[in-house]
Amino acid sequence: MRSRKFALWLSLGLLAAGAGALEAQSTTPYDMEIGLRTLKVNGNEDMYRTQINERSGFLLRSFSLATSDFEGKTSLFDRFRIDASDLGAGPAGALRLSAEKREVYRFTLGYRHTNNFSALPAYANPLLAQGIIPGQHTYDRTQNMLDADLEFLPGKAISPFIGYSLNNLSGPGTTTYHQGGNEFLLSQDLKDRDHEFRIGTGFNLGPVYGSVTQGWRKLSSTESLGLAGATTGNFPNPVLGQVPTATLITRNDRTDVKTPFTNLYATGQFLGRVRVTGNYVRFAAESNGDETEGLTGSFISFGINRFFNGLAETAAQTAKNTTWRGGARAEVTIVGGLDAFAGFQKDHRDLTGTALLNTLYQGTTNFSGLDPKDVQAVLDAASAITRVDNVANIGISARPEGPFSVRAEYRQDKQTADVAPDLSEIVVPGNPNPAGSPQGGAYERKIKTFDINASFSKAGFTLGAAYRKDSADNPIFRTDFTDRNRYRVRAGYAAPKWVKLGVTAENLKQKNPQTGINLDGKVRQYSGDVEVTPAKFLSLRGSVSQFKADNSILFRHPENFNTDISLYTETGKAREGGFLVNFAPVSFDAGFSRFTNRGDNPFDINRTRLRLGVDLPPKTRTAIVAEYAKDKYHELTPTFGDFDATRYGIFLRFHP
Amino acid sequence: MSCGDCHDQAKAFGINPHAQGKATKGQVVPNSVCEGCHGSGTAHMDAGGDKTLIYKPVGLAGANKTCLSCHDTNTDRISRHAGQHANSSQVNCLTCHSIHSSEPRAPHLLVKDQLSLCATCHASYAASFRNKPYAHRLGRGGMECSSCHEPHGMPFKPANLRQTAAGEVPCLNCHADKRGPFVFNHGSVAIGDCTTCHEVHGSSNPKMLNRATVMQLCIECHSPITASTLGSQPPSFHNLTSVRYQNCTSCHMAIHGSNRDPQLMK
Repeated sequence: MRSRKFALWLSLGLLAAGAGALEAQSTTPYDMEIGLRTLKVNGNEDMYRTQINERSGFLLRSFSLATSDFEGKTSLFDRFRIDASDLGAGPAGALRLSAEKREVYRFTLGYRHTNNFSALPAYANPLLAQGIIPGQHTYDRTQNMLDADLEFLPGKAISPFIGYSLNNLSGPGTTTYHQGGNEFLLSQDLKDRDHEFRIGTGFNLGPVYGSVTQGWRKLSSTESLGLAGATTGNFPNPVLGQVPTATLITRNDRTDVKTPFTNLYATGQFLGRVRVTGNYVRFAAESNGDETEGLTGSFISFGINRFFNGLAETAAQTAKNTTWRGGARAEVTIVGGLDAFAGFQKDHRDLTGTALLNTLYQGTTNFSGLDPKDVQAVLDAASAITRVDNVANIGISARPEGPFSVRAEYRQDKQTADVAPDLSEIVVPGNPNPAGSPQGGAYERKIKTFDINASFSKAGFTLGAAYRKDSADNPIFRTDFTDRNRYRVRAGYAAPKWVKLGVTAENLKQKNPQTGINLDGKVRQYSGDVEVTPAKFLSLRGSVSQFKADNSILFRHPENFNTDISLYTETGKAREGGFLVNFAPVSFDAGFSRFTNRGDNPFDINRTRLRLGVDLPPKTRTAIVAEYAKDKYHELTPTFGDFDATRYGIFLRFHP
Repeated sequence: MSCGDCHDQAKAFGINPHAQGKATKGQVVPNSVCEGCHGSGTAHMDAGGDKTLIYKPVGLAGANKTCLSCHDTNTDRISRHAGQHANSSQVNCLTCHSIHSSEPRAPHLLVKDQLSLCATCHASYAASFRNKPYAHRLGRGGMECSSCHEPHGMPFKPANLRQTAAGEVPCLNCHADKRGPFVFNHGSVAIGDCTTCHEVHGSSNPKMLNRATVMQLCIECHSPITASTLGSQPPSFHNLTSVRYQNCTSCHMAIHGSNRDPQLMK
C-alpha cells in the first residue's frame, strides 16, 4: 500500500512538474490516455495472475509530454520530457523523465512498478494428484524501482555525475520447511530493499575520452516465516514408526549485503582510424546475516539419529564475492568501410562463505526409550569457488557503402573453476574429478568460437545470414555442449507505405557425445510475417511462427543407479493476424492469435485484442477509446490451470 | 525564407534533441539545425525547392556522413565499427532511428516501439515474448529488449548483453535478491548464469524454466555418470518414482543459494 501511495504521489508530482513545463512553453505537445479497466476470470485465477495479472481499476494507459524552452523563460531547463505508461491497475507500469539545460546539466529519472505473482498448480507440488492447488511455493509481491542520474556540464571536458537507484521488493508468499522426511507449509513475509549510489565523472580530452564511476550498493533483506499448513505436513505417514508433526515453526532471517564497485573505461581515437578502449570493473560484495529458528512438535533428525520434540537454532554467516574484469580492445579502420578489431578480457571471481550454526535439539529420544536429553550441534561451515575467464577475439567488419556487408570474428574463451565445497555437503561417489572430491575440484573448459554474418540489402530487399560455431574441449556442467552450431537466415522485402514481409529461420544444434552424457539438443525457430497497406485507411498484418525443441541426455536414476534418457520435446506454433482501419474520426484495431504447444507441456492459448477509438469534435482534441481483451488458456493435461479471462476498458484520450 | 516555410516537420522540430540550443519560441532557428545534417539549403531554396539540390541522408551512406559525424564514439559497451549491429547496409543508424518521424512515445528517436522494431529482424524471439505464457512483459513496466541487450554492440559478449553498473549480468538489475553472495552457492548460479535453467525470452514452462518439470531440469545436471563434471548425484532414497521426489524444490527451496544449508533446503 505504501509503495502504491509512493507511486501515486511521485506520478502526481511529476505530472505537476509537467504542467509547469506546459505553462512555460505553449507549443508543448502532450498526449494522455486515462480510464478504467474491468476484469472477469473464469477458471484458475491464480494461473491468470501468474501469467497476465492485468487487474480491474483505474489506469493511466499513457502520458507523454515534451517541451523545449531555449529562450530561457524557465531557468531550470531548456528541454523537458515525461513519458508514463500503464500506471495504476498494474501489473507493470513505468514513468520516465528527462530534463536538461544545455551544457549545464542533464537529469533522467526512471520509475518502474511491477506486481509479481506466482501461484502455479503443478510447480513443485507433490500434492497435485490429491487435487490440492496451488503448489506450496507462491508469492504476491510488489516491486518498485527508481533510477535517478544527474550529469553536470554535459559535453564539456569534465562532466561529473551522481546517480541513485532503489529496488524495493516486498510482500507475502508461501514456502515449505523440510525436516526429517516431511515438509511443512510456511507463510512468508519478505522485505528487500536495495540502494545504490553512484558518483563519477566523464572526461573528454579530445582524442581521449572515458568515464570513471565509483558506486556503493546496500541490500537489506528480512524474512519472517511461520507454520501455515497442516501440522502433519505433506507426509502424514510414519517415518521410522513415528509420524512427524509440527505445532510451531518460526524463522526470522536478516541479511545485509554491502557492495562497493568501481567501473571505468577510456578510449583513445588516433589518426582518425585507430580506436583503443580499455575497461575495468571491480566489485566486492560482502554479506552478513543472522537467523533464528524454533520448532516444537515431533521430529526426526537423520543427522543425529534421534527423534526430538523441539529445536532452537541460531546462525551467523558471512559471504564474499570479489569480482574484477579488465580488458582492452583495438579497432582499426583499414580503408573506409573496412575495420579490423582485436581484444582481450580477463574475468576473475572469488566466492567464499562461512556460517556458524548452533543447533539445540530438545528432548531427543532414541529407539531404546532412554530419558529424553537435549543435544547441541555446532557446525562451522565454509565454501569457496574461484572462477576465471580469459577471452580473446579478433575479427573484421566490412561494410562498404554498397549492398553487401560481412562481419567475421574468432573468439576463444578459456574458463577455469576451482570449487571447494563444504564437507557437510551431500557426497555421493561417482564423479572422478581431478581433486577426488565428488563435488569439488578444478574444472577447465576452453571454447573456440567462429562467428560470421553477412547481409545484402538493395531496393527494398534484404537478405541476412549468420553462422556461429562453438567448439569446447570439456563440459563443466553435464549440460554444457562440446559442439554447438547456430544458423540464422532472414529475408525480407519492403515497399514503402504498401507492403513489408519477411521470413526467418533459425537453427541451433548442440551436443556432447562423451560417454555417459550423450547430450543432443536442437532448437529450430521459423517465422514469417507480412504487413500490407492496400489503402491509406487500412492495414493488414499476419504472422506465423514455430518453435521446436528436442533435447536428450543420459541420466542416472538415484534410486537404483540405472541409466536412462532424459527426453524433452516442445513444438509451439503461433498464428497471429490483425487489421487496422483508420477512417477519421473512427479507428479500429483488431488482433487475434492462437498459440499451441505440444510435447512435454501441452496447452493452447487463444488471444483477442480489439481497440476502437472515436475522435470527438476536433476542438475538444479528445477521443474515446474502448478496449476488449480476451485470453483463453487451456492445458491438455492436467487441466488445473485453465482460465478464460476477459477485460473491458474505457479510456479518454487527450491529444492537444 | 526558412525551411519551415515549406516543411512542416521543421516547425515541430523544437522538441527534438537535435534542436538543442538552436530553437526559439519552440521552433528551430531558421535553417540552422536543418543544415547540420542536410547541408546548405540556399541553392535548394533558390531553385524553388529542387530536391536534387539538397542532401538527404539515407541508409548506410547517410548514417556514415551525418550521424557518425557526431556519434562516432567507442565506449566499454559500444562499438560503432565492430559491434554486431555496426553500421551496415542492412542495419544502420537510420534503420532504427528516425530523426523527423520517430514513434512519439519511444525514447531515443526510435522508428517504432522497441519490441516491434527488434522483431523486424529477430522475429522468432519477439513471437516468443508475445505468445508464450511465461515471459517478461516487454513494452510494459519500462522493460524493453534494450533492458538486457546493448544494441550498439557489447564487445566480448556474443548476445550484446548489458551489465549492471557493477558489471554483473543484467538479470540482477531487477532480481537483486538473487545476487548473493551466499555461503552455499548453487553451481549453476556461481559458475553458469541464469540461462542454465531459465529461458529468458519467453518459455512454455512455469518459472520460465528450460524443462516442463523441475525434476527433469535438476536431474540432467545432478547425475554424474562419467567425466569431470560439476554436480552431485542425489542420494538413493530420492526415489524418482515417488511424487515427493519429483518436485526437487519442495525441499531444496533455496535453489539460488543459501546462507545456512549446503543442501539449499533453507
